[in-house]
Amino acid sequence: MNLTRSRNLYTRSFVFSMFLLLALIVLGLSQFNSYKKGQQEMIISEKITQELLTFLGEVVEVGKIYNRHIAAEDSLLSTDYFEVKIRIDSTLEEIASLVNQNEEKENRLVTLSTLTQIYLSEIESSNNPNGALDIDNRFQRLRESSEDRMALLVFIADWNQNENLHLDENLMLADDAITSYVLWLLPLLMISLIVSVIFYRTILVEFNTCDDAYNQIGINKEIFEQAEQISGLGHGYYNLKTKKLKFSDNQYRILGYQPHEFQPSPKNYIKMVDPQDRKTFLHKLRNLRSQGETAEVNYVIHTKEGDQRCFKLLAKLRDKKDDKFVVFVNKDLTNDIEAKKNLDLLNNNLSVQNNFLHYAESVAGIGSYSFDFYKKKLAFSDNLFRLLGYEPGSFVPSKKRFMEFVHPDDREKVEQVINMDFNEKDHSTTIFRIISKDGDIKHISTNKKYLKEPGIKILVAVFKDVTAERLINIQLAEQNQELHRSNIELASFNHIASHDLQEPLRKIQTIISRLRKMEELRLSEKGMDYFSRIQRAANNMQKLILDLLTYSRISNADMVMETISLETILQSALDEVAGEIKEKSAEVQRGQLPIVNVIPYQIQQLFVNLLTNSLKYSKPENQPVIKIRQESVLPKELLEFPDLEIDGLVKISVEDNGIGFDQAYAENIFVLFKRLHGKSEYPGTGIGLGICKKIMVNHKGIIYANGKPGIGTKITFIFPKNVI
Amino acid sequence: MKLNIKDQKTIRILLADDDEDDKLFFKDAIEELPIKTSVTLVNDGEKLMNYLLDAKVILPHVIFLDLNMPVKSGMECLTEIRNNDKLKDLSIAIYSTSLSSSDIEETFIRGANIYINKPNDFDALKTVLNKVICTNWQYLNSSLNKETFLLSI
Repeated sequence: MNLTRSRNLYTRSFVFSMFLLLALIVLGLSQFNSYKKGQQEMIISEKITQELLTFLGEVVEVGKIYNRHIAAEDSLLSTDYFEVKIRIDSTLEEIASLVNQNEEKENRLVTLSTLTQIYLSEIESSNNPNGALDIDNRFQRLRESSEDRMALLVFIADWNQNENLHLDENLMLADDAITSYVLWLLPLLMISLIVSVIFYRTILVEFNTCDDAYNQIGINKEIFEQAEQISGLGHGYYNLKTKKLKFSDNQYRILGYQPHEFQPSPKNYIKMVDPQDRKTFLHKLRNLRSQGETAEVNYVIHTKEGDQRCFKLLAKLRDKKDDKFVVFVNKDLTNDIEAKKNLDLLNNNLSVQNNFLHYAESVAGIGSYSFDFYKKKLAFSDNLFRLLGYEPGSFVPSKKRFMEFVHPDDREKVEQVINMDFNEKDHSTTIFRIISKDGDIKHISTNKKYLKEPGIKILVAVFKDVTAERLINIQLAEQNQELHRSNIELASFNHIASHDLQEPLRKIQTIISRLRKMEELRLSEKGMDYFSRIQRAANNMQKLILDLLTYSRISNADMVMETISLETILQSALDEVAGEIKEKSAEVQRGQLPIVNVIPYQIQQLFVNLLTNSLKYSKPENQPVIKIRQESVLPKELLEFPDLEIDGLVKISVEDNGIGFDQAYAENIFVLFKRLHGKSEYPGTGIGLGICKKIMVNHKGIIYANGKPGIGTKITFIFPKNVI
Repeated sequence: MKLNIKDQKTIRILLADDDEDDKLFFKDAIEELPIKTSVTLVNDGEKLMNYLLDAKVILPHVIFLDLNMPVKSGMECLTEIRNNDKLKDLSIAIYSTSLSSSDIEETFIRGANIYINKPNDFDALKTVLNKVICTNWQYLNSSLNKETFLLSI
């Protein structure tokens, strides 16, 4: 795009066209002039010819009059002659007016006038009032006048011919002028046309270019405005001649105003500049002296809202012939400064995190392998080197080098892990073996992840040394197997306990009962006592076996939960201990109980055990009163159930007025075989509350006891309504 | 099967049990009951089935069946008896040491009439046997249910 070039082109084409036109006009005018001149001459010649003819006629008439005069022998010329003479004079005057400025014709006119004068004076000489002339004289005169007249006529004929010749000549000249003009005009017009076409084409191209350029300027302006907005730039210029300051739209915006909200002036702009910066600001701008000189100043500005923003101003003096401008660009640096601060902070954090990561890697025995897809760069973390038995950075990481450490049997597996497939979805954990520098076989667990961000494609494979974990897992598996075996053994023990242990016991009991019946009368009192003791011991043993069976059954039972009313369960339990209740004449007070989701027979067992205990440890002197009711859960109790709300729990208490116990033993009573009383006082196996505790554990609940010696015991249990 | 003590002088009882002690207790207890009975004892399940399937044998009124026996268990015998057209109406009382719920359930499903847990007291044994032998079985059959299946003294 070269405007100067096109301007020159326009100028040249204009000048050339003008020249051509001028040439045409000049040529046309000259031709026209010569044509016009010829035309005039032709008209004059024609008129002269006419006048000459008139003159000729008049001369002939004069001759006739004279001839008559002579013939009539009159002494005086007739009046006709004088009339004709006047006409001749006027015709001569007429011709004189036509021959103006033509020397040749003037000469002829003079000759004509002279000849006429001679002729007429000849005639007039015969006008003699003294009488007529004699005949000879008359003839003489006639002859002389005839000669004069002849000379005159010849002269007129000659002139006339001459004029006719002129006429033809001029006619030819006019023709020539037209022909030559046309001959000149055509090529000139052709050239002019060709030149015009060429220039038109050239100019058209130039115009198109200009059009494009103009559009581009429009687009650039839009882009520039948006760019200004995005980058927080504003610009403007100050015309030093007109003293006018102009702002771009965004210059207003960065000052907190709407575009063109106010009329900018140096005065009101300087008011916005922070007072501390005003001096520097003005100083820098005033120092701009010569064309192209620039100034840069950072300053604080107070926006419309009163915010303080940091601006950077770049000003340039533009001193051209006619204009003197200061062009300036403002940039709002506030965000950049903040962003930089944030970036610094982030960088700090990042470096801290990196340190953490390095530390964490070495503590957790993790190493990482990362491959940058774009940079084609492979990196091993420090700890990966350590895992392989090397110091960090002791060799250049490469895939081949890494594969050499992998156990030959696992190489295919590892190949898949470090293979790049960005469409891969499943990154399952793989375990493989490496042989470290020292020949140790290490078990490594690995997982990979792809980091996919615009411009970033990184494969990260994390390796964790799980050798120790693997060992533990193997041990754990072995222990599990052991446990499973012992569980099976326990089950067969249960069978033995339930059948084979009970069998002889039952027989002993049966035989004792039989013997005692048979020998009752024959036995001594001491013998009877011994029998009773044998029987009691056998009974205790049977009870113990049964309780142990119950306990183990509860431990191993399948958890089949049912939604059931606690009242139903309690009723079944009461039915089970109905005999003892009746025996002790106990009073049972029941509150309303909720519907719960539990293992029904276990909760029934729980109630039975608690009721049995209350009945067993009742005070002989009092009627046993047992209260069973639902209570509200206390906040401190809720702490035991971190995942639940108060309304998700059920709290039941079984309270009696029995012998109670010392609160110091509250924990002990739930421990298997722990008893607070002698067997002879209160028979029991020490398993009952242990079973209760176990049942609550099965229901993810808690159980605790409150007791006061001589007052009573209160057992409370809390469990979730819905055990998951 | 109708059982009328007054009409029939002797009640035929069959006990299948391998335990010598239990057989002794059983015999002693039956003998002490004020009912006229004839007790047949067999040692195992196979002998029981052979005896029952013997055409010459007059079938017993009540069979007391121990579960844990050598050769053929009580459970197998119960199944065979209930699947045999000739024997299917026999009254069968399970007589076992086991109190396991699976045993009780299983025998009930397979069609035993009652389940007796061997008592550990001679008097209790006598009470149980008396109750079983003197039961009007026809009545019991019609109201057979799980709750009354296990005999409690």
